[in-house]
Amino acid sequence: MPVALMKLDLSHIEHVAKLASLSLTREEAEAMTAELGAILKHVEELSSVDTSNVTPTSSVQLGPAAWRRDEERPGLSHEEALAQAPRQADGGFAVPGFVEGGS
Amino acid sequence: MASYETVIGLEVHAQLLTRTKVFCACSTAFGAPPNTHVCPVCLGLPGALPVLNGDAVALAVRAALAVGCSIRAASRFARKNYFYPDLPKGYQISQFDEPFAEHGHVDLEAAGRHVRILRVHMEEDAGKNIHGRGGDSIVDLNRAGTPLVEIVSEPDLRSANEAAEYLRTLRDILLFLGVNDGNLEEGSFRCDANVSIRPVGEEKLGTRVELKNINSFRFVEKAIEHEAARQEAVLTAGGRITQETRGWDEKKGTTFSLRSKEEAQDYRYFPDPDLPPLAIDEVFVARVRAESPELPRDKRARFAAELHLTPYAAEVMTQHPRVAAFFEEASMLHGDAVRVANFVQSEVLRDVTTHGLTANLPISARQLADVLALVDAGKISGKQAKEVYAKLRGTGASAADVVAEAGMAVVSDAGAIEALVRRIVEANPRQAEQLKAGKATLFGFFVGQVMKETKGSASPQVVNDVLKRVLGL
Repeated sequence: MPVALMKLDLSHIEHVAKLASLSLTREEAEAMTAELGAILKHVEELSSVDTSNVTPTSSVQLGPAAWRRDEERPGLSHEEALAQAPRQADGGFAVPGFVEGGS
Repeated sequence: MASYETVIGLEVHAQLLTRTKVFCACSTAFGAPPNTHVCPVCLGLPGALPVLNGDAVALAVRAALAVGCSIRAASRFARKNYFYPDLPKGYQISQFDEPFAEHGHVDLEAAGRHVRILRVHMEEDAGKNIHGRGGDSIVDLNRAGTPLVEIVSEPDLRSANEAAEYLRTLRDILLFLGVNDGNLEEGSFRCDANVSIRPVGEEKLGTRVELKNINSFRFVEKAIEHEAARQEAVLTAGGRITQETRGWDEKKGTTFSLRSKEEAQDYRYFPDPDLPPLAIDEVFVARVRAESPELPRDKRARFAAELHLTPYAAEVMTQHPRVAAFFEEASMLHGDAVRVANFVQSEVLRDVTTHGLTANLPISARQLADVLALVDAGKISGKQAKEVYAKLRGTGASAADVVAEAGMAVVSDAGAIEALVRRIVEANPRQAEQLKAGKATLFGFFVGQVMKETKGSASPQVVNDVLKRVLGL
């Protein structure tokens, strides 16, 4: 069933940018509004195809995946794990201090 | 003035007791040095793909069945997107619109409350943050990717007390199932509470406040009580409740705002393309059901009905899976469950310490059964049984050896007691004559003399029998 997609405006871009932790300049946000709008328009064209009898595909794997046995295998060494950390301390990834607020 | 009722729904996150993480083969062991149980999958390195741990699915299904849920034949993993230092991928793999289990219930015996379970879903845990090291926070990703089930109740609880009972009941269920170690301090059993109040008689729910990550049963009760009182004060003063997330400050004994609704997160859930639908067929569910250990309430009922324990004793014997197993084994070996339960309650339990799924039992079931059997055989008295138990604690010694070494068996030997009785009777001829002449109260005098000589270690039954025989009563 074709779905009428919502019209994108600057406030949507700003909201999504905030969720993605991106700081956009006004110019960038406006350019993004036009570009994303064009992409959505393309998707809108796709949605004109009648898919009412088609099961949604959320994965490209065919059939259910095999499950793993609960058996431990070595991962990365501590050094390898931290190799690409910009900063480390006390064996961990060091990040700017923050207060626990949870997700 | 309107009177209000508190309405509570709880979300419990319980760590599944697998050896490895839910989507990779890293160990889930607690307490390892930071970032030593990690791999490209749980670090969120590019190109790494998750592969589901089948045992995690089995444990999740076991938990869901125990709270009466139906299992969906197909469910889906979804990405919950947010930024946080302990979330390396920038999203948590969870389940959203298609959880694997739904529509269950937990019954609270003390409160008499039927609490509906909305859903149970699988997800991965985030890492752990260590604060207060200079200006930095340190991220340890050993815990990232640990399998969890989230069990979400309907808003069916009506007091902080009921909320605590619900959590204890759920914790016991998961503990007895071997699904979770019930360890609040180590974070393997965590709880968020949705709390609102409404005027009594009102159907519509009030604006709810979410209390986050409270790590003890006592704090859950205090946090909910405090929050309900805070909301009532706001409404009574003519104010409105703000929908927000609050934390519990255990030092001040108050809740504090973490995040208001305006800042509420938009998680942009979508199906995880890296994971195909989670298919759980009926054969798998039937197998999990068949392999599930007995639930605590079923154990209590069985201990009362088949082993003739009082409801209280049944409750005490099922306070921990290892205590229950110990009691059952000792009962089987000895044959009289009630006597075993009495001895466990009066002597053994005070020496038992538990940590998660493990318990330190001072003696073995075999030792306990043997001690009680020695009492049955008249070899030692009930009082001596306690002494024998004290000597057996922490040793692998046999009860019979301990009795022999302590010389206890001698004084309960009928022959030895008879010699002693004859001596006491000869030393107290006047009392013996009066007793034979019918002054029955003097019987106690002779029993007392024997007990004094044996320092209370003689079997009272043997003493009675021997006294009657020697005095011709």
